[in-house]
Amino acid sequence: MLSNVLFVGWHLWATDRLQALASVLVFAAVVALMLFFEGLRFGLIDDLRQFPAALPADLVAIERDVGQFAMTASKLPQLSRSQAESLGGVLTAEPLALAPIILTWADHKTPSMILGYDRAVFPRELAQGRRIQGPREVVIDTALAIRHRLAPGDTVEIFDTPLTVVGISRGTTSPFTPYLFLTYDDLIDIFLEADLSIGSDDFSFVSALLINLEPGRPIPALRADLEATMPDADFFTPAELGERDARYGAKLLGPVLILTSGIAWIIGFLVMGFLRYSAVDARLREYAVQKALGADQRFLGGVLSIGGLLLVVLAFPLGLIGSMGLAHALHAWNPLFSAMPLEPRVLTGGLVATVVAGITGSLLPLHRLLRLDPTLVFQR
Amino acid sequence: MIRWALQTLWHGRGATLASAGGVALAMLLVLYLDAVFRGEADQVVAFIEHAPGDIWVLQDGIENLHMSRSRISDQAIADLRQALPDAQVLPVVYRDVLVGPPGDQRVAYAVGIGAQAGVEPWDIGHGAARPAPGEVVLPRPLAAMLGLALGDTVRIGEGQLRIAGLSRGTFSMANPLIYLEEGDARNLLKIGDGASFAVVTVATGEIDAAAQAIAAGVDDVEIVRRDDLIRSDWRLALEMGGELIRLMEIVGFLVSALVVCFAAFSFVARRQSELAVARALGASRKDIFGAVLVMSLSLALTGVLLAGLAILVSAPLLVRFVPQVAVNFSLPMYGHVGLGVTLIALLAVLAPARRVAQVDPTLVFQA
Repeated sequence: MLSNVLFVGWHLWATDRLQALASVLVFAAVVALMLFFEGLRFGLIDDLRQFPAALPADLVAIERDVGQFAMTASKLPQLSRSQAESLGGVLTAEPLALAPIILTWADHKTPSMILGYDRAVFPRELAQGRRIQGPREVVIDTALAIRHRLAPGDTVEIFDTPLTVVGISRGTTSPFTPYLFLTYDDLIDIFLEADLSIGSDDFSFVSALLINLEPGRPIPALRADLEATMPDADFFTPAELGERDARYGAKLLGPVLILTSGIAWIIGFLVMGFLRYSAVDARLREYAVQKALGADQRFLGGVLSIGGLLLVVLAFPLGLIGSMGLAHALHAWNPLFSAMPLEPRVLTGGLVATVVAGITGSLLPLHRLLRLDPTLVFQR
Repeated sequence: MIRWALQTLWHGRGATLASAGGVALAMLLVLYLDAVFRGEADQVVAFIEHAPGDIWVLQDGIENLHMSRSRISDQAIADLRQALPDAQVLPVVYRDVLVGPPGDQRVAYAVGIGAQAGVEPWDIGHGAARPAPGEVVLPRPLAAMLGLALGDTVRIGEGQLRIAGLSRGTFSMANPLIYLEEGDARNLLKIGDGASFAVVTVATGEIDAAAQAIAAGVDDVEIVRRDDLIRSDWRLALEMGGELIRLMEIVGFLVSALVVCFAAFSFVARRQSELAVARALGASRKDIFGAVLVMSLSLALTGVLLAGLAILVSAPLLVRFVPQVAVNFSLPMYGHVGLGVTLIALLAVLAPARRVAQVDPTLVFQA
């Protein structure tokens, strides 16, 4: 019985090779679209998580109630570093200054974040060049470097100050705040020379503190001590901070991303269902032959479903390849954005939607097929 | 043949509607993505478009309002007034600020409203347009997202203000605008003196001369014409995320074109035998092409119509249930996409039509 269903299902589906091939290609294109859009949603949020989650510290202090690292300006009191370091169990408290700028260079404008640091090792990973060793040097994120056509040895101007690009960093891309790294001293000099107060009277050159604890000290206990000592700050592990940035990004971008991705899912699902329905409906007479030969509802349902599944089996891998191609093209076009079509949740959702659409579209005409007069087949 | 084509469409209503549905859905994909792109990008420059002024005077080196913090001094404002004694100079306090309780904050752009008119919300849904001290006007979707209503208290930066008005057309994901009394704005944004920027209105035809006078008489400022500022912010919005939505739109369009192509092609291709019968019975090539084009045109137009109906139904639902996303459906875009879809559908059936027109009429007897 099963082999018959498979044979007839395959035979009927593949009778018109051109139609079958075209429908596989269209299904694959729709699958690629769905996986790409959904992968984009995951990719953007993941990029927001990466940098804060990889900060080289046991705890990160930021302004109380701000709650995120990259997307909102945090300011700590200038004395917060000495406050933190005065606490027993704290090995070092490294100040970071974060200053949002719009990098305008090589015909592009990119909102970016300057990170000024003192002794910490930034960035963690270099794609090219070296870390900063002298004054007026800058390390920039890979995406920024590609976008603004910068390479080690080039000069870039920030607030009219020429800086030499000495390194290109990896793991520092964020869709809305790709990072540039300066020494703390250079950042202060550049801002003072440019007479910039970042637009408010309360700008602080301490945006965050990277706190490293003495080996073996329990983080929860010291966090409680730090919170008691420094009431103006909140303390998070880098992983928590990464999660918070991701959550904030999801809250900020979620509605747009969910809407665009949701539209793609719904429309993709319906398109696949409609096209499969239309294909089956148009060839109802060929299926009716089976009915005229005595096929029952289960057999016909099986034959129709096999047609739908064949389509899915051939179209889904092609669609996946297509979505990976789109993700690659997106990254090449604008390296600030990345899509993750291979994320398991994206793949699972895409596969389920494709199978359900293929089978539902196939089975919808079944009711009509069962009511069909078997003599119809002889009317040709 | 035309009649036969229409009868065929009617006789196979299920397949016709399914194919037209495919066309409509493909078209909807493009229109929805375009509406999201348009809604967000338009909203980024809405404040500049609704504010008065021909010249915007910002901090030296700042060429954008969006994602920027500009600051000009009292001295610069005084110099500006001296350089242009006949012009209207409106200093504006404007800066990004966190709105909402800790843990559920959103970034918004706060506008301080002083005694001079010009930068108030342009469309008030409920309540007052000009906030008194201690009050704020929020975009309606932002208030809804925070679960707040008129008269409730909301945290703005480090202050608590009463919601005195709910505005319309002032919200987008990237650029929600909130309005505060100028004194409150200065306190909460910590802008004690000066302003964020000044908007200068001059007599018609005097923009160039005014810009030159500002350049000569005011130090450390950036002089940006209104149109240039709109262009600059629009471009930044595009580079920030608009380009991404635009790319999604292009991908959507390509896939949609393929779907439309396939729907029209397969609909006609499946009727090749019937068309071959018609050819065998004496129908001319012109008749065959005419019938095929009528079928394809009917499918495409039905799809375009269905897409239009779906937008009419879904647009109010989107505004109601997804107020966080500024969606702006465009009638010209609907026309362009509809025309594109129709052309694609017509082109897609030319190949099967040509095949039938050239077919040996005896083919029909081989089926």
